[in-house]
Parts: sequence; C-alpha cells; structure tokens
Amino acid sequence: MNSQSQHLYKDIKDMEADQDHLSELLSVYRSNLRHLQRQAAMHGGEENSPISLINELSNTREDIKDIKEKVVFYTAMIERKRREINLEGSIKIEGRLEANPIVTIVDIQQPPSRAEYLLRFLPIPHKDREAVIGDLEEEYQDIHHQFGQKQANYWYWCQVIYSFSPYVKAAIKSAIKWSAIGWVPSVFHLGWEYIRKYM
Amino acid sequence: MPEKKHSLGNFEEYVLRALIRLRDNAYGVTIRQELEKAMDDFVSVGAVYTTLDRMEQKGYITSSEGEATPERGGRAKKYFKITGSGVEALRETERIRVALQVASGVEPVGVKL
Repeated sequence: MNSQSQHLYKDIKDMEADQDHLSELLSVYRSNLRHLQRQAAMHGGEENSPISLINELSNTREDIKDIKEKVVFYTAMIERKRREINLEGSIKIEGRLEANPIVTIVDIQQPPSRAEYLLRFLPIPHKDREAVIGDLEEEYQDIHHQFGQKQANYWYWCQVIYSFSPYVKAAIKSAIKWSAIGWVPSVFHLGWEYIRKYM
Repeated sequence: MPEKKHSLGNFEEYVLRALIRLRDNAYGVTIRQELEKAMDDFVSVGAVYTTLDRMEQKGYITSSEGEATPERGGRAKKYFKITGSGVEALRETERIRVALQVASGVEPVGVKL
C-alpha cells in the first residue's frame, strides 16, 4: 500500500471515530429531548409550558438536527475518501477497517431518487417516518452489497409501491374514525332539536 | 356484559411471534426479514409498520428509539417489545385456534408461548 493510500485510510478511520462520537452524542441529546418532552407533558403540552422549557426544547431539537447533518456529512466524506482509494484486492491495515471492511468503508449507495421522491407521498405517521426511511436505506445498502444495484433498486421500488396500500388504508380508517367522532355533536344536537319540537 | 377478549389477526399474530423470537433485536429490518423468512413471501415495510402501530395503540407492544448508524443515513432505529397484554392476546388466539381444531376433529398443532 502506498503512503497516499495509508494517509487516506487514516483519514477514514479518524472520521469514523468522529462519527461514532456523534452517534453517542445523538443518543444523549435524544434522551434529553424525551426528558424535556415529559416535562412539557406535565405542564399540559408544549403550548402551556414555561418559556424557558420551550426554548430548551427548541434548542435541543436544533442540536439534534445539526448532529444528524454532521453524521450524514461524515458519511459522504468517508464515501468520497474511499473512492479515492483503489479498494480492489485485499485490505491490509490494522484495526476496524481490516476487521470489517464492508461495513466501514464500502461506500453508502443512494437509493433510486424517484422512489425516494415517491416515498414523500406515503402517509407515514410522523413518529415512524425516520425509522421507516432508515430501515429502507439500511436494507437497500445490504442488498446493494450482496446482489448489486439492479436488484437493490428493484427491491426499493417494490417496497415503496407495496407500502402504499397499507398506509393509505390506515389513513382512510383514521379519517373515517375522526369524521365519525366529528359527527357525534351534530347527531346529539339534531336529537335534542327533535325532542324539543315533537315531544 | 362479558369481559372483552383479546383478538388478533393472522399478520398481527405473526408479528408478535417475530418479536418474541427476536427479543432485544426487534426493529423494522429484522422483523420484516423474520416475517419474510417464515411466510416465504414478500412483506412490505408499510405492512409491518402499520401493524406495529395498530398493536402499539392496543397496548400489545411498546417501542423505544435506538441508535443511528451511517448505513441508515444517520436515522435512528425503532425497537419494539411485546407487553404482557400482547402475550395474553397471543395465548387467547392460540386457545381459540385449538378449541376450533378440536371441535372440527382436526388434531391441534399448537405453539407453546
């Protein structure tokens, strides 16, 4: 391995260490956010919470957003560095890269952009959106590494298309439930009017 | 008024059984893969999450946020665990199945929880 490659591998290792640190930091901030949300719930929701708590919530959310952006940035940078190295053949370096080269240095592939765009129109509940998209991306990477881009793209498209039906059904059920609840006062009102008029 | 019994659909039952099998490693990807392997059929992430969501509302499972990894684009995992009432619902479903199998003269094939 030439000195240029060694230098690039060192950069990748450093960035992975930073990325691990950011992931730990993200867990701490998320735990803090949950704690603040519980406090807000005790005040009867965020709207009724003291201004200091609202500010803290807002700052924590901003911090989480920043950290997430940094994680994505590091992922992209690692991918870029990796592309600069010719990874053909065996990898002979110590530590994490040697132990698990596929997971740590094989580049992160981008799922088909049109399918990702279509995914935006899926009525996924807000609380699940991040987990669903993350799961799809994680499996996409696995399939890409095992079977190649064509299979991975096909799998991703199938997932997006076949997920429409359950999500749309769930959204319709929920809408019917809420519209039915919305009708309850009207029915009571009509009943009361009927009793007043005819009884 | 008789006490309301737990009832599970087929897919809900499979998901709960997958959660029992996966224990602490039950999140979207592993659950979907476990179901696909057991059912030998394509399972969409939408079908899994809408079922999980419904069962969480019924109190059969609980969820917690997990770690974010680069392969997930920095997005956190969501882990699921079965609750006591989820296990109870599974037992009730199993009981009904066995009772119906006995009544129809088919030898019951039960899975112990």
